[in-house]
Amino acid sequence: MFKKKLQKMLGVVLAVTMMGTLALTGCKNSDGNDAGDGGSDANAGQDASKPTVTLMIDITGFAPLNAATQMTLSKFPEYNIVSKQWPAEDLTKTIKTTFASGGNESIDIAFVACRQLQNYKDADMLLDLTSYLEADPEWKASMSESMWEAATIDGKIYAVPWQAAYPVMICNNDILKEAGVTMSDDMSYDELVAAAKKLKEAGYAPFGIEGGVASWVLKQAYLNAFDTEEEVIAFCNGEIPFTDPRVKAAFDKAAEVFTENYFYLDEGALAATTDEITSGFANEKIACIFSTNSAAKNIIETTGIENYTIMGMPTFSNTGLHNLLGAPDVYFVPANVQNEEETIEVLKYLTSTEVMQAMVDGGAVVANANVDTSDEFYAMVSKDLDRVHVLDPVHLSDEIADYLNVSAHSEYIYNGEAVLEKLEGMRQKLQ
Amino acid sequence: MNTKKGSASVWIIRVFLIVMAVFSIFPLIFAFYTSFKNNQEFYQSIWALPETLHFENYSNAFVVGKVGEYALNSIFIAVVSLSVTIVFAVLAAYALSRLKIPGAELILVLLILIQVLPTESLIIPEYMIVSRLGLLNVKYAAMIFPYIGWMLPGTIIILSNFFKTIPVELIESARIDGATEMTTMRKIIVPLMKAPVATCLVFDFCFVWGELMWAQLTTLSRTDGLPLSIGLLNFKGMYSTEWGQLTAAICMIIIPMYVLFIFTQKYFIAGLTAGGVKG
Amino acid sequence: MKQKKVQGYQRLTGYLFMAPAAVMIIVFMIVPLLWNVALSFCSWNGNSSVEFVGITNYLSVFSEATTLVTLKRSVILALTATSVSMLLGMLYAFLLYRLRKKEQSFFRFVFFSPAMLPMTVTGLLFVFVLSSNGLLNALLSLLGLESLQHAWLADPNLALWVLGIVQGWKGCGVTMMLCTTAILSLPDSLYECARLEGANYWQQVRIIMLPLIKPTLKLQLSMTVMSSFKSYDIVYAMTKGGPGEFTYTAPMKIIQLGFTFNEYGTAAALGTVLVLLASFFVIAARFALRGETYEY
Repeated sequence: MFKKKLQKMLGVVLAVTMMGTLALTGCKNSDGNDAGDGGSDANAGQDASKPTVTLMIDITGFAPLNAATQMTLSKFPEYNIVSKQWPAEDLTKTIKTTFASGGNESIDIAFVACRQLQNYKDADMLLDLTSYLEADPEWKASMSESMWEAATIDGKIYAVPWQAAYPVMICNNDILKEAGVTMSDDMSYDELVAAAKKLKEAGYAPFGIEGGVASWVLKQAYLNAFDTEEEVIAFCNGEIPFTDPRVKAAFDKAAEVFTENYFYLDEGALAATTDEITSGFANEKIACIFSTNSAAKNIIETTGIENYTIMGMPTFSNTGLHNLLGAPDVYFVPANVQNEEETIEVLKYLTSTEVMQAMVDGGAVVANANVDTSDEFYAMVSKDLDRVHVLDPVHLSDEIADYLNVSAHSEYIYNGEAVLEKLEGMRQKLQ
Repeated sequence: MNTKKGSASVWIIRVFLIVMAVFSIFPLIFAFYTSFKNNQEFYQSIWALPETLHFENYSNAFVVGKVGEYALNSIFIAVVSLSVTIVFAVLAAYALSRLKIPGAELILVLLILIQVLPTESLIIPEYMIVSRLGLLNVKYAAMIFPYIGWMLPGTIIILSNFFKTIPVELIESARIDGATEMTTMRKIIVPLMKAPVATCLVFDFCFVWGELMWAQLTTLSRTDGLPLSIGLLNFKGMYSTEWGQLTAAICMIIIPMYVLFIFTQKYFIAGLTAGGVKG
Repeated sequence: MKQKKVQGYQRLTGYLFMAPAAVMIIVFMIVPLLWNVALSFCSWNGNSSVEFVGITNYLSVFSEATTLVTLKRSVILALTATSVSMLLGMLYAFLLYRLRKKEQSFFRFVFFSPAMLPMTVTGLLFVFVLSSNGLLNALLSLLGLESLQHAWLADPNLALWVLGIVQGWKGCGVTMMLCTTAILSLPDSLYECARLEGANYWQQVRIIMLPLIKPTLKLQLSMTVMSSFKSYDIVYAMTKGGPGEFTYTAPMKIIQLGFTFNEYGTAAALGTVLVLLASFFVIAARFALRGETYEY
């Protein structure tokens, strides 16, 4: 009897709450439409008088971008700057959908890893920034040439690099000491394997990498698969066939380290998630993990490993070359930008030394050459910038890019040489 | 109604169900106790219970995920889209099952089939439509209208299925007494449909409450009218996720769903005894 | 004469009742669908003008091994997920019916809760459960079944089945709810005869309940088949289509073709093929459960 009453009351309460909410939000709605409502500006959907610039670059908890966004918001009160969270997985869908619909909505500034830039360029969705850069030489000079190289397609510059990202190897020194192993920047493949064997005998997983970027191992292998740098460049430009024995040797090495179970989770290594790797490293089961240089600080803090060394990713080759794969993150402007002039102004500010310095203080390794890099940790995660080799065969076509970045590596482990023939077929299509 | 409740076979059933229940409730419990850990603790040991209770995860999550602000939006969107969906669906389902529409069976099958296309295939044309109709300029509208369109087929199918179990005689007798269709609906159908409608409410609410992709797309240059699911995005860092805070936010967000579910249970309990009415 | 008038009036009311729903469905579901079908005969990169290319896209869908195999994977996933979801859901519904009201409510809540939890958390959880050194393998070694240990989500041959089982488990709550709702609407009087003749519960289930809730089963089977063909979130959350592209299902391929390769025409063609394939299975399922429907 009482229960029924209680339920009835609950129903009434719920109904009243909903009515109240409806009324409240209804009021809010009409308030937002009132002109000249100064108080709730932050909540207003759009302020028709000011040009809107939508940024999609902020990431909660990532201090460098938080700082950049905050500084931009206060610097441009004359614009209506809307800041959205950067969605790693849905960015392409968001940009391409708003683009395709041809409406008034647009994302004005976003960022991607430069290797995904080609994807947008192929659909002609990028704003050509070359003329703006030529008009402002100081802006152009603030980043190094190799950084701009990453953002250049067919001779035109389509994006502005801001973060110099490359993979590093974070080693747990305690484990290395216990197993009697040393790791160094310029280890050859054979030395690497020898060290890995010793680590396995001591009961540790020698390496750990997130399954989704396991192709880094392959990239390191093929970027260093030749005897001279000229040949590497030729390979990246599609002049050397994928069925070349040196390329095959690179693929073999990249496959071997996984089939020999040198990577954490053994058979499950290719499906390892970031969380599993972080957990394994925190529990001191993995000797060395591979990660992006900008993530290093976060990893050290989260896993609590105190005795560590950070160095650039090894080359997985025996040729003595020293290339390091790198994919700088770049800001780009979609071609359907609404307020072009204002957006470029905001973009310039975002990549100015002032903002970049704030990002360095937040722990990012930036592309701006004018920043003060005296912080010790920063030095550690940025010292390999010179080795970064941006040119890569993935620039040849979308198909090759997707295949090499995502599936070639794991498919090679299961299907062997058929993968090389497939790649060669893709390369032939372009001849 | 059914055989004795205390017999041995029932106990076997209970044991089996309890074992299965452990598996089913485990994710929820996992989310709950992870919400009290900080990230470091989490990675040290995924499965262990938290050593110290980090209550600040909840307050941080509330702020970072903007739970307070977004909750109102989500509630509004849910209430409006669900009310409209249920009303339209009840009418349509009744028509399809009892009002001799030619080709009703075919229409129902078609309603199932049109839902196959993955949402991601639909977003481009959908966005174009919403943009051309000017819905993007009205707060909430760009989300509510498509949601209604997406929820209707499923809801209509479920409801019409249950309409069919209502004996024709009941309806016929009302018609003979001179009742219009609307009165028939109100006085006879609606009371009998409490359980199916409650079921649809729960399914549809869960959909609206958790939908992210479309919500994100339609609120690109807005800072208002954002639902809770977008708030969850704020926890995904660049290279890692704040699992403690994310699970705290999720625990807060799922409460309305669970409350709604429990609240609708009484219609099921009522159904247990009302079964006799029809006999 | 009056009969016809009554029928006519009914039909008119019927159309009127359906109108609002029809408008919403046509604008927000059918138009996009038709747009997709139209696009499947064209070539478009999301920005340039749309060119008509006839059936080239369809030919490419069937000739590209990587694309065709995603359809096969979708079928495997759909069949596994549907079986698990239907069988488990029905089992729960029938078992629950034996218990007291309070217990029923409790168990209903517990078994439906996985469906209400966001995919982010469920994905995280299952990755750690199914990991090579995760909970499942640990449990197996505790039970002395070490030989059964696998890299559940990394083995290309295994991952898809595992994903299907997880998806089925997540969706069984819906089946359970619908079956329960159906069972609840069966009047008591039906059971009296059976009880008088001394039938036990399971006989009652087989002879009375199952045939009577067949329409609901048919409905739920169609819906489950349909939604498991379209699933994207679960696969993406647990394996991102990996390792490599070994667990890429058709919806993921559609996204890749469209948003990564800028080939929206081919993506639309694959989408249309998927709809036809799923329709085939849905109709097959309905055919399998054909028969009379009963009123009570």
